[in-house]
Amino acid sequence: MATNDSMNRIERESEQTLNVANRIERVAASDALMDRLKQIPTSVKQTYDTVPKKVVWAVAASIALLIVLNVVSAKNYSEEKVNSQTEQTNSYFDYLKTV
Amino acid sequence: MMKPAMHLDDHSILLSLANDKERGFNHLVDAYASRVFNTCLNLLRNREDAEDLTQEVFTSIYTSLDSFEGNSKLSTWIYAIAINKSKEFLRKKTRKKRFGFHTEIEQEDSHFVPSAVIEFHHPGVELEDKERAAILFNAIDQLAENQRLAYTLNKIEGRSYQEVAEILDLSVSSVESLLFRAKQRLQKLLKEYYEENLK
Repeated sequence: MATNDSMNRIERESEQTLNVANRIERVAASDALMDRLKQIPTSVKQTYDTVPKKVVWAVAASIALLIVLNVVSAKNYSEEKVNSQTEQTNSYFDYLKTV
Repeated sequence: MMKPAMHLDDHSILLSLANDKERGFNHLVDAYASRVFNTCLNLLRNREDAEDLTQEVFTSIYTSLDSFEGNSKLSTWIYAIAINKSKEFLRKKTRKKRFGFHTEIEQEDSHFVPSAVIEFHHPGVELEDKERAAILFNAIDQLAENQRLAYTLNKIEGRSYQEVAEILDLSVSSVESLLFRAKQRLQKLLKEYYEENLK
Protein backbone atom coordinates (compact mmCIF):
# COMPACT_ATOMS: atom_id res chain seq x y z
CA MET A 1 0.00 0.00 0.00
CA ALA A 2 2.78 2.36 1.06
CA THR A 3 4.73 1.46 -2.09
CA ASN A 4 1.69 2.22 -4.23
CA ASP A 5 1.26 5.59 -2.52
CA SER A 6 4.87 6.46 -3.00
CA MET A 7 4.73 5.41 -6.69
CA ASN A 8 1.65 7.58 -7.20
CA ARG A 9 3.36 10.47 -5.52
CA ILE A 10 6.44 10.10 -7.73
CA GLU A 11 4.27 10.02 -10.84
CA ARG A 12 2.29 13.03 -9.65
CA GLU A 13 5.43 15.02 -8.93
CA SER A 14 6.92 14.09 -12.31
CA GLU A 15 3.75 15.15 -14.10
CA GLN A 16 3.57 18.45 -12.21
CA THR A 17 7.20 19.15 -13.06
CA LEU A 18 6.56 18.43 -16.75
CA ASN A 19 3.58 20.82 -16.63
CA VAL A 20 5.81 23.71 -15.58
CA ALA A 21 6.73 23.97 -19.27
CA ASN A 22 3.20 25.35 -19.91
CA ARG A 23 3.57 28.13 -17.36
CA ILE A 24 6.82 29.73 -18.50
CA GLU A 25 6.15 33.38 -19.28
CA ARG A 26 7.51 35.21 -22.28
CA VAL A 27 10.10 37.79 -21.27
CA ALA A 28 10.23 41.10 -23.12
CA ALA A 29 13.59 42.12 -24.54
CA SER A 30 14.97 44.95 -22.42
CA ASP A 31 15.31 48.50 -23.79
CA ALA A 32 19.08 48.14 -23.49
CA LEU A 33 19.00 45.04 -25.69
CA MET A 34 16.74 46.78 -28.23
CA ASP A 35 19.23 49.65 -28.40
CA ARG A 36 22.12 47.22 -28.90
CA LEU A 37 20.23 45.49 -31.70
CA LYS A 38 19.35 48.73 -33.45
CA GLN A 39 22.99 49.78 -33.35
CA ILE A 40 24.01 46.71 -35.37
CA PRO A 41 23.95 48.42 -38.82
CA THR A 42 26.21 51.19 -37.50
CA SER A 43 28.60 48.82 -35.72
CA VAL A 44 28.83 46.51 -38.75
CA LYS A 45 29.60 49.54 -40.94
CA GLN A 46 32.23 50.72 -38.46
CA THR A 47 33.87 47.28 -38.53
CA TYR A 48 34.19 47.59 -42.30
CA ASP A 49 35.52 51.13 -41.93
CA THR A 50 38.13 50.30 -39.28
CA VAL A 51 40.79 49.42 -41.91
CA PRO A 52 42.16 52.80 -43.10
CA LYS A 53 41.70 53.50 -46.80
CA LYS A 54 45.46 54.13 -47.18
CA VAL A 55 46.17 50.57 -46.04
CA VAL A 56 43.56 49.18 -48.44
CA TRP A 57 45.13 51.11 -51.36
CA ALA A 58 48.65 50.08 -50.33
CA VAL A 59 47.65 46.41 -50.28
CA ALA A 60 45.87 46.73 -53.64
CA ALA A 61 48.94 48.47 -55.17
CA SER A 62 51.28 45.77 -53.79
CA ILE A 63 49.13 43.02 -55.30
CA ALA A 64 49.01 44.85 -58.66
CA LEU A 65 52.81 45.31 -58.60
CA LEU A 66 53.27 41.63 -57.79
CA ILE A 67 51.07 40.64 -60.75
CA VAL A 68 52.98 42.98 -63.12
CA LEU A 69 56.34 41.61 -61.96
CA ASN A 70 55.13 38.06 -62.46
CA VAL A 71 53.88 38.80 -65.97
CA VAL A 72 57.13 40.56 -66.93
CA SER A 73 59.33 37.80 -65.55
CA ALA A 74 57.21 35.10 -67.21
CA LYS A 75 57.48 36.94 -70.54
CA ASN A 76 61.27 37.29 -70.21
CA TYR A 77 61.60 33.65 -69.27
CA SER A 78 59.66 32.45 -72.36
CA GLU A 79 61.67 34.79 -74.67
CA GLU A 80 64.96 33.46 -73.25
CA LYS A 81 63.73 29.91 -73.74
CA VAL A 82 62.93 30.55 -77.44
CA ASN A 83 66.33 32.22 -77.98
CA SER A 84 68.25 29.35 -76.40
CA GLN A 85 66.27 26.79 -78.45
CA THR A 86 67.09 28.74 -81.68
CA GLU A 87 70.76 28.82 -80.73
CA GLN A 88 70.77 25.08 -80.12
CA THR A 89 69.10 24.38 -83.50
CA ASN A 90 71.55 26.68 -85.30
CA SER A 91 74.54 25.00 -83.75
CA TYR A 92 73.16 21.60 -84.75
CA PHE A 93 72.87 22.64 -88.41
CA ASP A 94 76.37 24.15 -88.28
CA TYR A 95 77.61 20.81 -87.06
CA LEU A 96 75.81 18.95 -89.86
CA LYS A 97 77.45 21.29 -92.43
CA THR A 98 80.90 20.37 -91.20
CA VAL A 99 80.10 16.66 -91.42
CA MET B 1 -0.74 46.51 -18.26
CA MET B 2 1.69 46.52 -21.18
CA LYS B 3 0.29 47.74 -24.50
CA PRO B 4 0.91 45.25 -27.28
CA ALA B 5 3.33 46.90 -29.71
CA MET B 6 2.31 47.17 -33.37
CA HIS B 7 4.76 45.40 -35.62
CA LEU B 8 4.97 45.08 -39.36
CA ASP B 9 4.20 41.70 -40.90
CA ASP B 10 6.90 39.74 -42.75
CA HIS B 11 5.83 41.00 -46.18
CA SER B 12 5.99 44.65 -45.12
CA ILE B 13 9.35 44.06 -43.40
CA LEU B 14 10.78 42.57 -46.61
CA LEU B 15 9.44 45.51 -48.64
CA SER B 16 10.93 47.95 -46.17
CA LEU B 17 14.28 46.10 -46.32
CA ALA B 18 14.28 46.33 -50.09
CA ASN B 19 13.69 50.09 -49.94
CA ASP B 20 16.03 50.96 -47.09
CA LYS B 21 18.09 48.24 -45.42
CA GLU B 22 18.68 50.07 -42.12
CA ARG B 23 15.07 51.17 -41.71
CA GLY B 24 13.83 47.71 -42.66
CA PHE B 25 16.24 46.15 -40.18
CA ASN B 26 14.80 48.33 -37.42
CA HIS B 27 11.32 47.00 -38.25
CA LEU B 28 12.68 43.47 -38.23
CA VAL B 29 14.24 44.05 -34.78
CA ASP B 30 10.93 45.44 -33.47
CA ALA B 31 9.04 42.41 -34.74
CA TYR B 32 11.47 39.65 -33.83
CA ALA B 33 13.75 40.79 -30.96
CA SER B 34 11.55 39.46 -28.15
CA ARG B 35 10.77 36.21 -29.95
CA VAL B 36 14.42 35.47 -30.72
CA PHE B 37 15.44 36.55 -27.22
CA ASN B 38 12.92 34.11 -25.68
CA THR B 39 14.13 31.26 -27.87
CA CYS B 40 17.72 31.97 -26.78
CA LEU B 41 16.62 32.35 -23.16
CA ASN B 42 14.76 29.04 -23.14
CA LEU B 43 17.80 27.28 -24.54
CA LEU B 44 20.48 29.02 -22.46
CA ARG B 45 18.47 29.95 -19.34
CA ASN B 46 20.62 32.90 -18.52
CA ARG B 47 19.60 36.47 -19.32
CA GLU B 48 23.10 37.82 -20.08
CA ASP B 49 24.03 34.89 -22.31
CA ALA B 50 20.65 35.11 -24.07
CA GLU B 51 21.12 38.86 -24.71
CA ASP B 52 24.62 38.36 -26.10
CA LEU B 53 23.41 35.54 -28.30
CA THR B 54 20.42 37.56 -29.51
CA GLN B 55 22.83 40.31 -30.58
CA GLU B 56 24.97 37.72 -32.38
CA VAL B 57 21.88 36.33 -34.13
CA PHE B 58 20.76 39.76 -35.35
CA THR B 59 24.28 40.66 -36.48
CA SER B 60 24.30 37.47 -38.51
CA ILE B 61 20.83 38.29 -39.87
CA TYR B 62 21.96 41.79 -40.88
CA THR B 63 25.12 40.63 -42.62
CA SER B 64 23.36 37.82 -44.49
CA LEU B 65 20.13 39.63 -45.41
CA ASP B 66 21.21 39.74 -49.05
CA SER B 67 21.39 35.93 -49.14
CA PHE B 68 17.74 35.53 -48.04
CA GLU B 69 16.01 34.35 -51.19
CA GLY B 70 12.51 34.00 -49.80
CA ASN B 71 12.41 30.21 -50.27
CA SER B 72 11.28 29.84 -46.67
CA LYS B 73 9.25 32.12 -44.41
CA LEU B 74 11.22 35.02 -42.91
CA SER B 75 10.42 33.77 -39.41
CA THR B 76 11.68 30.25 -40.21
CA TRP B 77 14.92 31.69 -41.60
CA ILE B 78 15.41 33.85 -38.50
CA TYR B 79 14.70 31.00 -36.06
CA ALA B 80 16.99 28.66 -37.98
CA ILE B 81 19.81 31.19 -37.50
CA ALA B 82 18.92 31.53 -33.81
CA ILE B 83 18.90 27.76 -33.34
CA ASN B 84 22.23 27.28 -35.12
CA LYS B 85 23.84 30.05 -33.07
CA SER B 86 22.41 28.55 -29.86
CA LYS B 87 23.77 25.13 -30.82
CA GLU B 88 27.23 26.63 -31.42
CA PHE B 89 27.07 28.48 -28.11
CA LEU B 90 25.98 25.41 -26.14
CA ARG B 91 28.58 23.20 -27.80
CA LYS B 92 31.33 25.68 -26.91
CA LYS B 93 30.04 25.81 -23.36
CA THR B 94 29.83 22.01 -23.08
CA ARG B 95 33.31 21.64 -24.58
CA LYS B 96 34.68 24.05 -22.00
CA LYS B 97 32.98 22.14 -19.17
CA ARG B 98 33.83 18.63 -20.30
CA PHE B 99 37.04 19.15 -22.27
CA GLY B 100 35.34 17.49 -25.23
CA PHE B 101 35.63 13.91 -24.05
CA HIS B 102 31.95 13.03 -23.75
CA THR B 103 29.54 12.09 -26.51
CA GLU B 104 25.78 12.36 -26.78
CA ILE B 105 25.41 8.64 -26.06
CA GLU B 106 27.12 9.17 -22.73
CA GLN B 107 24.87 12.16 -22.18
CA GLU B 108 21.83 9.89 -22.61
CA ASP B 109 23.06 7.76 -19.74
CA SER B 110 24.03 10.55 -17.40
CA HIS B 111 22.01 11.58 -14.37
CA PHE B 112 20.92 14.81 -12.78
CA VAL B 113 23.30 17.24 -11.24
CA PRO B 114 21.09 18.63 -8.46
CA SER B 115 23.62 21.37 -7.68
CA ALA B 116 22.64 22.97 -11.01
CA VAL B 117 19.27 23.82 -9.41
CA ILE B 118 21.06 26.54 -7.44
CA GLU B 119 22.47 28.15 -10.62
CA PHE B 120 19.08 28.39 -12.37
CA HIS B 121 18.06 31.93 -13.46
CA HIS B 122 15.18 32.03 -15.94
CA PRO B 123 13.31 35.35 -15.67
CA GLY B 124 10.18 33.84 -17.24
CA VAL B 125 9.66 31.37 -14.40
CA GLU B 126 7.38 32.28 -11.48
CA LEU B 127 8.99 32.06 -8.05
CA GLU B 128 6.79 29.17 -6.89
CA ASP B 129 7.76 27.16 -10.00
CA LYS B 130 11.47 27.92 -9.78
CA GLU B 131 12.54 24.67 -8.15
CA ARG B 132 10.41 22.47 -10.40
CA ALA B 133 11.50 24.42 -13.49
CA ALA B 134 15.14 23.96 -12.52
CA ILE B 135 14.56 20.20 -12.19
CA LEU B 136 12.74 20.11 -15.54
CA PHE B 137 15.39 22.13 -17.38
CA ASN B 138 18.14 19.99 -15.90
CA ALA B 139 16.30 16.95 -17.20
CA ILE B 140 15.92 18.62 -20.62
CA ASP B 141 19.69 19.17 -20.63
CA GLN B 142 20.15 15.39 -20.47
CA LEU B 143 18.32 14.92 -23.77
CA ALA B 144 20.08 14.49 -27.10
CA GLU B 145 20.50 17.81 -28.95
CA ASN B 146 17.66 17.45 -31.47
CA GLN B 147 15.25 16.16 -28.82
CA ARG B 148 16.15 19.10 -26.59
CA LEU B 149 15.58 21.62 -29.38
CA ALA B 150 12.31 20.07 -30.52
CA TYR B 151 11.00 19.83 -26.95
CA THR B 152 11.93 23.44 -26.16
CA LEU B 153 10.38 24.82 -29.34
CA ASN B 154 7.18 22.78 -29.05
CA LYS B 155 6.44 22.39 -25.35
CA ILE B 156 7.97 25.56 -23.94
CA GLU B 157 7.52 28.02 -26.80
CA GLY B 158 4.30 26.47 -28.09
CA ARG B 159 5.34 26.19 -31.73
CA SER B 160 3.46 23.74 -33.93
CA TYR B 161 5.01 20.49 -35.22
CA GLN B 162 5.08 22.05 -38.68
CA GLU B 163 7.00 25.11 -37.47
CA VAL B 164 9.46 22.99 -35.48
CA ALA B 165 9.99 20.79 -38.54
CA GLU B 166 10.72 23.84 -40.72
CA ILE B 167 13.07 25.43 -38.18
CA LEU B 168 15.03 22.21 -37.60
CA ASP B 169 14.85 21.24 -41.28
CA LEU B 170 13.22 17.88 -40.49
CA SER B 171 10.01 16.14 -41.51
CA VAL B 172 6.93 16.46 -39.30
CA SER B 173 7.05 12.72 -38.55
CA SER B 174 10.69 13.05 -37.39
CA VAL B 175 9.64 15.85 -35.06
CA GLU B 176 6.79 13.73 -33.68
CA SER B 177 9.19 10.89 -33.07
CA LEU B 178 11.76 13.21 -31.42
CA LEU B 179 9.09 14.63 -29.10
CA PHE B 180 7.77 11.18 -28.20
CA ARG B 181 11.24 9.96 -27.28
CA ALA B 182 12.02 13.20 -25.45
CA LYS B 183 8.90 12.86 -23.30
CA GLN B 184 9.64 9.22 -22.51
CA ARG B 185 13.19 10.07 -21.51
CA LEU B 186 12.08 13.02 -19.39
CA GLN B 187 9.52 10.88 -17.57
CA LYS B 188 12.22 8.31 -16.83
CA LEU B 189 14.69 10.94 -15.61
CA LEU B 190 12.11 12.67 -13.41
CA LYS B 191 10.98 9.36 -11.95
CA GLU B 192 14.58 8.52 -11.05
CA TYR B 193 15.06 11.97 -9.57
CA TYR B 194 11.94 11.80 -7.38
CA GLU B 195 12.69 8.21 -6.32
CA GLU B 196 15.99 9.46 -4.92
CA ASN B 197 14.72 12.73 -3.50
CA LEU B 198 11.20 11.98 -2.21
CA LYS B 199 12.02 10.00 0.87
